[in-house]
Amino acid sequence: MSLYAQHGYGKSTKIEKGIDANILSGIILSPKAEKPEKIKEFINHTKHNHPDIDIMFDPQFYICGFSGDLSDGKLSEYPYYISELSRANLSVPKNIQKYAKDVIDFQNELNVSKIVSPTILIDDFNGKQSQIAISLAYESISLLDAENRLMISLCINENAFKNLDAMNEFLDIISLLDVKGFYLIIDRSNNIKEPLIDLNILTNIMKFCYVLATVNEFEVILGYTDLLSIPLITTGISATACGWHNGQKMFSEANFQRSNGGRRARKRYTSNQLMNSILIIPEMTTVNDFGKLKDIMSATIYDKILLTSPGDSAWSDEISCLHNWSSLKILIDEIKSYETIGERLDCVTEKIVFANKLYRMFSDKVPFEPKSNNSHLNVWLAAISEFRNQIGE
Amino acid sequence: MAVPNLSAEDVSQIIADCKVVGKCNRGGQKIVYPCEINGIKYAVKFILLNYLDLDLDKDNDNDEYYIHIEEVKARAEREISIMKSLDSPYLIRIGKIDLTSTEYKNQNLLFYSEDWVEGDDISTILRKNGPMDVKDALKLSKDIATAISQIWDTNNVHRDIKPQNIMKRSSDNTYVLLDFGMAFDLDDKSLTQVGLVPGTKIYLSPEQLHWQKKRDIDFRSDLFSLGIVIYETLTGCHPFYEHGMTDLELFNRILTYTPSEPQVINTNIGKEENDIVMRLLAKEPHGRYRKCSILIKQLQAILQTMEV
Repeated sequence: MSLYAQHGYGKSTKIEKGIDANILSGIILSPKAEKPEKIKEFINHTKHNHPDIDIMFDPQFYICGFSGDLSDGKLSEYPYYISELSRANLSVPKNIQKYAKDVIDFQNELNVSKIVSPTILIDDFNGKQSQIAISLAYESISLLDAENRLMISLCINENAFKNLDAMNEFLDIISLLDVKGFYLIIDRSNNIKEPLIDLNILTNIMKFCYVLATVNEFEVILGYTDLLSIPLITTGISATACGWHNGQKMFSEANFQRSNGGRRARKRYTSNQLMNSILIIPEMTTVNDFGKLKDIMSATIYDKILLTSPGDSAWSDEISCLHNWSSLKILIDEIKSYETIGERLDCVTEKIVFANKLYRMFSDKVPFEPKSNNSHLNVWLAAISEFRNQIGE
Repeated sequence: MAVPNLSAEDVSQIIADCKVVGKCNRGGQKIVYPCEINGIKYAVKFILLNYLDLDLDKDNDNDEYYIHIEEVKARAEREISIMKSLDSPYLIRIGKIDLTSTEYKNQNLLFYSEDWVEGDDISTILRKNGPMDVKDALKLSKDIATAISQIWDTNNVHRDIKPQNIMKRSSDNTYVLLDFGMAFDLDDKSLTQVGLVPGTKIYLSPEQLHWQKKRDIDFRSDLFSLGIVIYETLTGCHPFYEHGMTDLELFNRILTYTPSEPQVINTNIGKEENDIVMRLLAKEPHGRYRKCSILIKQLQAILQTMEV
């Protein structure tokens, strides 16, 4: 169980520093954010300096199926990219073969050990898109040594997980694929902000990950995941990937639509003790005013920047990103130190209970905004409990 | 469909150079004679398609009757074709006589031969001796999992794994899977009419009970049935069926009930083998094994530990 960087715009030296600090074990590259020659150069450079780092290239083929005023960045410079593929395009078997081949051929020229198959966004496990996604997977399998190299990518809207029967049937099909593993992206397009999520959806995502990773022993890498990594890592998945912008911490179709910009995100701090990220001003400064700052710190090497006076600190975007990764890594390492899934679930449960106690201590003192409060914790607890029932742990 | 009415003398009349060397065995649709042909022992199987003098004009269900005959023929052809495509010590093989049709004493018959396996079937062994030794049960599991894997390699599913269809060959103690009569070729159209559940009912998998999912059945359905067989061999009890149960009660149990862990019934069973059985009995196919090789490897590892 480890942490990968979810690559995006403006990587500067973040990934390099994350690797040097032993926080990151891998990188998932985004062609939307980088030209092909730059990607190749970056892979070769990283492989040379850090041969043990796992580098994966997410072809982001799912964007081909999106419509509207798309912000597809550098993707148009990639040979396999086709903007606004229609359902008719995707219904022709010959096209499916070509799409898979083009995506795999491009990756075969990269210095990567694993190959990621193309996919499209699945809204419903019973829908046409899930059949197309499976066809793309089958076509990809036929093109290489799939058992040792191929990661089947799946991009699934969270609402699809509401239908447990359909999810189970989908699992019956994909668990038979003879591949190395799965690169899974959960589309959070219903605009509920991470880490809050619907109880049934989280329970079923946990089961989905557990069936693939623990029962069927596939390598499962979960992309675009920030704090939700914590309950999900208990299921036995190999890694989660998180980036620096909100768009790399949580996947949403809206992130690929052109926007008019917006105000700069306010600075936040990831607190392992609260199992959430909170605003540095005013939330963290208020905690500091009560002399309780140390109670919520994550014990990363970056904490010292904030310890004396959080409000005045030079908490840059890069430091914020490295701190967030480091906080996640600390939690992941603690969870993975437990051998059984039951013990890992116990560990997360205890942490949630403790975080709730801290929140109660601050209840009438700190003005937490909705994104910073503890509303997600009880959902996580209930989902863990329900998941335990489902798997008999 | 009735069983053919044939004596040992009739068999020798139908097949030249064939000498019946033992008592016949009557199954659901077949009669089986142990025979010697050129000094080698075979099981010769006869299937009755129809009686030649049946006045079908008076029968309102003629179409259904003919469809049924065609289905029995097709099933026999499939059984032979699967046997021919497989060559394994864990699977019964076609004998000297290929599928042949004949008319004899007012009966329209099909017959063929299979290799003769000297030994007892698991049902007989359980009846005689009670639960099997853990090591023997694991050996059975490994051999039959290998058989299931080999059938799946040809894109087929057996669909009728049960103690009566597993023989212990006395010459080398190998377990052999018999009877491909229910086998399902995933490349071909289903031979089973909608609503009719194939396979012996107390060994059916949950997905075999969902007739609308019938086309999606894969080798993991056979693994579920194998799980029931192993459970029985280890504990002497069926995990779902109890005497006097109706079909509905049985099917409901197969679909929803989690049986007691075998370890609870037989304390000689270790945790690893207990977990294997429970995993095979998972209600959803994705909860079992995605490859037979993973199961076989686990079983081999336990068997090796037992031998040390």
